[in-house]
Amino acid sequence: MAPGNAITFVKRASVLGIIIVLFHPIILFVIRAGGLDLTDILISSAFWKALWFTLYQATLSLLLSLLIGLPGALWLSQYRGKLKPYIHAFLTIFLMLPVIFVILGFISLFGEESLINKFIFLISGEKLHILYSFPAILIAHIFYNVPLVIKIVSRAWEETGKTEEQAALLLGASRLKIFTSITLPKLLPPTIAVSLIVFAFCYMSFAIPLILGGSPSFSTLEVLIYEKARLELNLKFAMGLALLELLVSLLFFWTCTRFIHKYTFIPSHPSKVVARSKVSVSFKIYLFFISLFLILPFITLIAETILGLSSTGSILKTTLIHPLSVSLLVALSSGIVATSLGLLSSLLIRNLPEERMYDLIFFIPMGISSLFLGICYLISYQKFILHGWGIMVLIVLHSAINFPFAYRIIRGSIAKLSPQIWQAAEHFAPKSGIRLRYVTFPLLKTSVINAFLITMALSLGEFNATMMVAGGRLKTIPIIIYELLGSYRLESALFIGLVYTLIAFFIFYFVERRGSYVTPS
Amino acid sequence: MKVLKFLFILALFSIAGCTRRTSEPPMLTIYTYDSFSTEWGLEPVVIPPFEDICKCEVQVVTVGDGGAILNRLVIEGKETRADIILGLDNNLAARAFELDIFEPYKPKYFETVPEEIWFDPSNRLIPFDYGYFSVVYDSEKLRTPPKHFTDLTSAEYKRRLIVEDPRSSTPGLGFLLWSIKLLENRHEDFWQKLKANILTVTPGWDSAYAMFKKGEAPMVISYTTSPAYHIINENTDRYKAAIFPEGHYIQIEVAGIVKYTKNKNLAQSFIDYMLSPQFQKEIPTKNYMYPANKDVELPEAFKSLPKPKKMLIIKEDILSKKLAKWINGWRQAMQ
Repeated sequence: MAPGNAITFVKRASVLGIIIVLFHPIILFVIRAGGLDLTDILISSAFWKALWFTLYQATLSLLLSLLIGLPGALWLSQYRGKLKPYIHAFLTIFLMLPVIFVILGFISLFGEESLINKFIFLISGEKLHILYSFPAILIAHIFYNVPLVIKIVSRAWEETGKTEEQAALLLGASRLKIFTSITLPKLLPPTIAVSLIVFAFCYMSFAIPLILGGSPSFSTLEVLIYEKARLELNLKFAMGLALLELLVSLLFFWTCTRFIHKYTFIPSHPSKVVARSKVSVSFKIYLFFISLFLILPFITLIAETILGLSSTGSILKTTLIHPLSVSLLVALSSGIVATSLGLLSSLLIRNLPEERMYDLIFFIPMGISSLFLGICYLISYQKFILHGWGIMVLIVLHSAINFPFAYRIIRGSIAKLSPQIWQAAEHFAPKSGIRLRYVTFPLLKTSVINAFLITMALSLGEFNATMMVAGGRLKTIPIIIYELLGSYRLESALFIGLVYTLIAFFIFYFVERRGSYVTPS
Repeated sequence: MKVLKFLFILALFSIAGCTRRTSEPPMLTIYTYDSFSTEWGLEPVVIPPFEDICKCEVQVVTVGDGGAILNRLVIEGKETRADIILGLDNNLAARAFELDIFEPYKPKYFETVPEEIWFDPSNRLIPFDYGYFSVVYDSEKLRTPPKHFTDLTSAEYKRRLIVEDPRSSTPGLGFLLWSIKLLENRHEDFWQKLKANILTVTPGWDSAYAMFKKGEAPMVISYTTSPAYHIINENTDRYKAAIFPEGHYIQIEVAGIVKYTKNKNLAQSFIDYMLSPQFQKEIPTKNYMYPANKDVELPEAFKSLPKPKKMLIIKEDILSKKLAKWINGWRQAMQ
């Protein structure tokens, strides 16, 4: 075997190892579901209706989130002020917010009894029905996803220089031509990377469309899966649905990645943008409104939580400490595992001929129903859970769920690096260890930290799959919040949620500060 | 880095806390819903005393809600480790019987349970508590509560009711079945009219009640016993249940012995204990339901609640035949 082939073999074996360790419960699921007869589902009108609505709301939510988020990303990528780590920490919070809090936040802002509505009622004598309509679903999805768009895309754009544009300008190209042929293709890969993530979130969303839509006609595929599995105990039908749900999202993913490969332009110099462009008045207005939109629901919720504080006292002392440490341990560990494996696999698959096939495989956990994700891990690891190793299972589960996010973010960053950099690195530093230490890590540092923060935040907020594994003394804060809400204790739930969010904010801020302390050059 | 280190050490302690020795026999394994083992649920007050009596260890495995417990049993089949299943109800009973995994048992205290809630004549599923679904309203916001079931469609309640989705929620399903039991073939018309009064449909009781409590709508589908929580814990009788003379649909929560159990005697003694006053007296203030044992004295807050005169129930064999059709009808009526 030639040395090149040997290396390729080792790479493939390692990637396969990662896939098996993290995803074998999912592989078992796909094998089991793959043998199902899907004709029953394909002829059911409920399926097509739900699929159509799911795709429709997810696509619209995605387009609007990009439209509103991208200008913010452009601004943040050029912003060098002191508030930057705070802004990034704040944007990360949205990844861990329990759905019910977002809904309650929206209710206090736009609901039937909100200040806005009382004011409108005073003037016009009619209440404005903002919530419980299709636009309300979109507004909530935008609220959830705009911060993610801003965060991921701005980080990626920070690394993009303007050398090519300057060269093209010198050579006499028109500004429009420069924008469409150089700038846009450079900005595209991170935009598509974040699009995949946002699409996956909206595609899987079910509580927001149902509650804020106000009608069961706004049921996504996820609701149909719950109906078949839990109400009718028709696990076969539900599994088939989950499989189709996955296939459709893979189709979307495949289309997007083709797009990336067709239109991407790789800049040769990963230089930094230093010049800060002027912020126009209209842009300032945009920034003002977007900040207001993202911050106001928090303020109203915090105010109401503090007002309801009196009835929360006794629960906190005993309830909080243990689940908080479980949540933090699971989030830190799974964040580290998911990010390291994301980094490792994106480095391993680089230049393998089947590179894009792995892109597709690693997308699977993002496209699979959370109900089944939890069940898959429950079946595979039940013995461990019963013998008290539930927390390890939880770490593995969260790592597997969040790995695709870390992978997408880091991979997007690697794809942007020009081949010349790797060639130069290989030429000057033939030892791979030294190359990793002095070239690869410094170049990827921003995206690795970003991936760590995002996976950690996702883990802090994970609920659906966690519920399958958690129980007894093994509980995370989102589970406790759910239990409090399930037993009339709304005020305590809100208070614990607030404390949890604050703690998370400080951890994110801390990582941001440490992360940007020594920036690579 | 200090903060990170501290967090790790803190978290490592929690691992130690989670790791429990499980090898000491005899052990009784109970599958139940989440709310059983919360700090404010039944487990902390009823399980340790039982462990003292039986000189055994009880392992409580929580599995989401009643529907999730059944899913778990379908997946595990004969391999299940459960000795006892606790937390199914009359609406899930038909599905549970189809699985054919319960062992009949006629427990001690059998005679203390009212006949009308003992719905399984072959004694496979044993009631431990029950409650009536109802419209709970905020008396400070709603001056004229509905007096009859069909009043709910009245125009004065436009956008004032929050309901749960029957596909994913127990009270949601209970409310749908209530309308079917009372109105039979006319229930789809009822839902079409009710649509204008429904502010929103939530996936679960928890989000519906949270929205109700926040004042988004003055009526929500819950239980006649819900106001007891606010009387006991918040010292207010502001929240009330509307009682309808035509009757209320009932939820009967049950437990059963798994027929593959290797601890049959232990399992039977648990079922006996479950109906004993020691267990039953905790039910009102933990589950906010009526205890199955009618000899148990109720707390003051419960005595002050109006109790429906008539109980409504749909037999489980009819339910299992028609449920899919009803859900489809509901979905169409709500379009």
